[in-house]
Amino acid sequence: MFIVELNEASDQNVSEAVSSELGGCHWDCDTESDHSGE
Amino acid sequence: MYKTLCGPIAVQVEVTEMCNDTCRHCYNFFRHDGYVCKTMSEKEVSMVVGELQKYQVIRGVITGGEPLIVPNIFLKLAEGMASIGMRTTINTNLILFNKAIGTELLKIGTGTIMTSLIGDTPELHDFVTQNPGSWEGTVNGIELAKSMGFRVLVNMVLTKWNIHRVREVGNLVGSLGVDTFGATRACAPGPIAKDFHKNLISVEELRESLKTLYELKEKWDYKVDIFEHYPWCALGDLKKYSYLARRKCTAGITSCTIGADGELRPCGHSSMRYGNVFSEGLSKPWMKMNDWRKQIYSGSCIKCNFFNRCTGGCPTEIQNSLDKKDHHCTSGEDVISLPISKEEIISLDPDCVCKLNEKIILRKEEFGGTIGTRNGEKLLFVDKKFFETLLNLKDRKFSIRQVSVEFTEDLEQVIQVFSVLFSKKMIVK
Repeated sequence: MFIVELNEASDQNVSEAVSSELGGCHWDCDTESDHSGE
Repeated sequence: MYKTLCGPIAVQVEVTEMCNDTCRHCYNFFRHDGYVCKTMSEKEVSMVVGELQKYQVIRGVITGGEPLIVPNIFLKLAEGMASIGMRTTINTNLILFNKAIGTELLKIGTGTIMTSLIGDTPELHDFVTQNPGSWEGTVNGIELAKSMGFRVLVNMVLTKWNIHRVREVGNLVGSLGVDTFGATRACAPGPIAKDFHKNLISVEELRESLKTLYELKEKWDYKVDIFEHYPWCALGDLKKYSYLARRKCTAGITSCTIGADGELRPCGHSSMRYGNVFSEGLSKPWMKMNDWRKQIYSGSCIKCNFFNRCTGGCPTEIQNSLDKKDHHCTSGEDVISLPISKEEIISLDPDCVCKLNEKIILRKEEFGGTIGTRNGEKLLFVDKKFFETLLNLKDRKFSIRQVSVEFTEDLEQVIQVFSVLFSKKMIVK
């Protein structure tokens, strides 16, 4: 029972998997719609 | 190489190629060569919605051209996407926005609009859009949309023509009460790249625009963003710009664009076509995009130490540029800090009773499954055993210890993976 990386070049472990979300590009304004900025 | 998903997670739909502006920086390949513009028919819109439903696509962007030129078709698409539970936003210049369209959109449940404002004055904005009166139309549209309760995001496309006006445009949109201000670089668009590259901002100007954005954020208390992927070496201080570093090139990996002619393309910037959704459905052309999943268009970035996490600039920009390189890629040596994740993993008590979030999406994949939330904010990819377990847990309450026993899995491992789900609100107490 594992979380997997979409990128096969990355290690398959939880900490990497957490960063596996692909944030989106190309005028997609709704990635992380609860975003707070920095 | 990225794993192949059964379909995209996010899709941009170009409902029409027609536009009332003719922006000098426009990346639409069909906007620059006397091309006869197409618009989807109602029947084609229904087909697109059917395909999006079939592959449980989570998030959609309705774009163009200018969608509001064809209000009936555009509203039919918005309604169709909403009816299948997709989170949908609209990209429009707002010139043709009115109360009737706004009311319909709110009724459908589509309350987010993104628009472009190129300058703080009509002279500058209209020069770039090549449409006299467009500044006034867009500003009036922003005011109306805000007064109706829309979440409005304003993007300023940065070129040599307006790079010196970021602060002024940011102040104007702040006074209009917008929710987010973005200042995003223009990339070299395909057909006009050779003439256009001199109008691209430099990497120094790009970095200065980021500083200005964050100063504006302090002043106006709106959110700031960039609406394209920036290479990490251009961002430089990724700790400071962690939020901006989240945007990657997702073309052909988790996202794609459906053109008004039904052709599936990796993204709105690219003119590469992989098949027609109207005649072949979504899956067949999507499966052909392996070249994007192999990242073969990433140029020399592929050798960079940060490539896997950065994704290496814009592949279409690389293809279109004169030196086959993203204009703003410098060197991995310019990355002076790494991004920080705000997401904290909370370790779940094994006896705590949980259930799956009602808004969770479980999509079967060849390798296991995609787990998403209905609003498309959170994603996770899991192996077959984990996916089957989650399917089994639908519509019932469970504890981590129960899962460990019932599915004969090591308790520590179950705690670890379910804690990630809990942190992403995919399971709730």
